[in-house]
Amino acid sequence: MMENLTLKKIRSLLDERKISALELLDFYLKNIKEKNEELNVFLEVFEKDALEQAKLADQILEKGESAPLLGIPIAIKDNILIKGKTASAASKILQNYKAVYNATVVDKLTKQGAVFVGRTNMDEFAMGGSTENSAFGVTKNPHDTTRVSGGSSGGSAAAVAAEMVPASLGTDTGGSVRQPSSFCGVVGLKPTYGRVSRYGIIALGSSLDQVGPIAKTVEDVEILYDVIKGKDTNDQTTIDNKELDDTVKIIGVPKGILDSGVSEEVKNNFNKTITSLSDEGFNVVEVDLPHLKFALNAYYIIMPAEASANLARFDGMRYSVRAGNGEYKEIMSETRKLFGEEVKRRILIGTFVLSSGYVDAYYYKAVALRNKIKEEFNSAFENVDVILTPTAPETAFKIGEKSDPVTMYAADLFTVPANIAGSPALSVPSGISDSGLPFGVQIIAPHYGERKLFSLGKNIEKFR
Amino acid sequence: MVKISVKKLSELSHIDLTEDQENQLQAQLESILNFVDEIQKLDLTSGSELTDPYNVLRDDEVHEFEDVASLKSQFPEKDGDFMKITRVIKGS
Repeated sequence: MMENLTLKKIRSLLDERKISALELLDFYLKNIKEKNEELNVFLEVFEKDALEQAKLADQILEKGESAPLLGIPIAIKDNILIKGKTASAASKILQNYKAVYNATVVDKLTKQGAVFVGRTNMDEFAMGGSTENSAFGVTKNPHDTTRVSGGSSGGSAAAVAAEMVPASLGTDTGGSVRQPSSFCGVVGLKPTYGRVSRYGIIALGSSLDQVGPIAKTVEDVEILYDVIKGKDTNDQTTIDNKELDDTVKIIGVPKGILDSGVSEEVKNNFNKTITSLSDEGFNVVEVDLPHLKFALNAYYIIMPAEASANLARFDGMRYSVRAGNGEYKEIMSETRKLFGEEVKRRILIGTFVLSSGYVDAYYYKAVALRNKIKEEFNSAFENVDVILTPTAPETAFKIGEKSDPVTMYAADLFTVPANIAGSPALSVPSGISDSGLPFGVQIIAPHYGERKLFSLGKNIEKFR
Repeated sequence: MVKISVKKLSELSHIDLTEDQENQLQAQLESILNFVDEIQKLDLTSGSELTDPYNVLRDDEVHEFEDVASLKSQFPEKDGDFMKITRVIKGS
C-alpha cells in the first residue's frame, strides 16, 4: 500500500485517515534501515525527532485539520540549516557544527507540517557532480550501486529514488539538483534566481545558488515549490511573487546542442522525446544561442571566484573547529587542511581569477560573457516559450570513472546555463536505457516561468 | 598555455600544501585554466559589462538574535562570554 506514493496521494491517505503519519514514517524508516548502509544516502537520521513530529501530525489530523505537508517525511541536504542539528556540508571542517537557527526553507516546511527525517549526503560544499567529493563517502545510485547518484545533491535524489522519503530538498549552483535527479530517475527543480530564500544555506556561488525540491512527479515538485518560494527579508536577492502563465506552445532546441560530448543513447532518447512532443502538437523549433557553449567556461571562473570568497570565513576562528595553535596564520592554515581536494582546487582557482593582473582577463571577462548569454536567452524567449535540452550528456557514470577534474566538470554542460542566466529549469525523467539507467530531459523557462516548466513537465512524464 | 604559481596562490588563500600536492595541483589547475581560457578569444565588447541592475540593501537595524547561548556553544574556544581568538597584531 505504501510503495511508490506521491505527495498528492499521501495527502489524501492521511487526510482520510487511511494511514497515520506514524505508519507512513515507519515505512520510510524501515527502507532507510534496509538500504542506507549500502547506498550511503543519509549522513544522519533524526529518528527520535521525526517520530515526535509524526505523532504531533497525527494529533492534528485527528482533529480534522490539515496542511500541504502535514505528516509528510522530507529529507534535507546537509548544507541547509536545521536549528540544533549538525550541518556539515559533507566537510570535515564543519563536522561538529550545529546550526543555531533554521534556514527560511526549513521554517516554511515546518509551518506546513513536514516531518524532517534526516540530512543527506552531498559533495563537500556542493562542489561536484557525483558525491564522490563528500568527506563521508560516495552515495551509490539506487538503480546500479556501481554507479554514482550524481551531485552535488546526490543524497537527496537517491533518497527519493530508493523510497527512503517521498520528497527532499537540494541546492543547485550549476546543476546540483537537476543532474542527480536525472541520474536517479526523479524530478528536480532549480527555481528562478531569487525565487527561494537562501537564508540558512551554506553558500557556494552566491550569484548562482538556489534551493530546489526533488520528488517523484512534477506535481509533487510543484507542491514543494509553492511551499518554499517567496520573498524573504533575510535574503536580499529574493523577489516578489510575480509569475508567468503556464502556456507552452513553442519549444526551442538550441542549435548544435547534441554536437559534442553527448552519448549516443542520450541523443536517441532526447530525439525520441522531441518526436513525442511534436506528435502531441507542440511546435519544436531550433533556437540560436551562439555563446551557450561557453557557459561552462564562464561558470568555472565565476563559481570558484565566489566560492573562494565565501569559504574565506572558514579560518578556524568560528564554526566549532580550530586546528593548530599559535598565530592566526598558522591556525588558519592548519584548520583549512580539513578541506578536501576539490574544495582546495576551487579556492585556488578562485584566488587566481580574482588576483591582481588576472581579474580583468578572467573574472570580468566571464561576467561579460555571462551577460552575453543572458541576452541570448532573452532574445530566444521572444520566440519560444521554453528551451529543451538533455539534463546530462550521459547516464549515471561509474564510481571512480572521472578522476580528472576537467572531465568531471563537463558533466555540467547542459545544467550550468540556467544558473548563468538565472532561469528556472526542471529535470524530468524521459525513459530508461538498455542497461537500466534513467534518462532525463531539462526544460528551461524565462525568469518567473516555473508554471511553464510544470505544464510541459507533466506532458513529458506521461511518455515514460 | 596559462602559467601559474601554485605556491603563491596557496599562500594567498592559506591552503598549506606538501610538495607532492603542489606538483599535482600545478598540472590540474593549469588544465582547468586552459579549459576556461577559451573565452579569451571571444569578442564581448558589445556593451556587456559588469552591470547589476540594482543593489538591494536592507535597513541597517539591530535585530536581537534569540538564541545567543547556542551561538556561543559553537565557539571553538571561549573565555567566559567571549569568543577567544588569537593575537593578530604583534607587540607586547
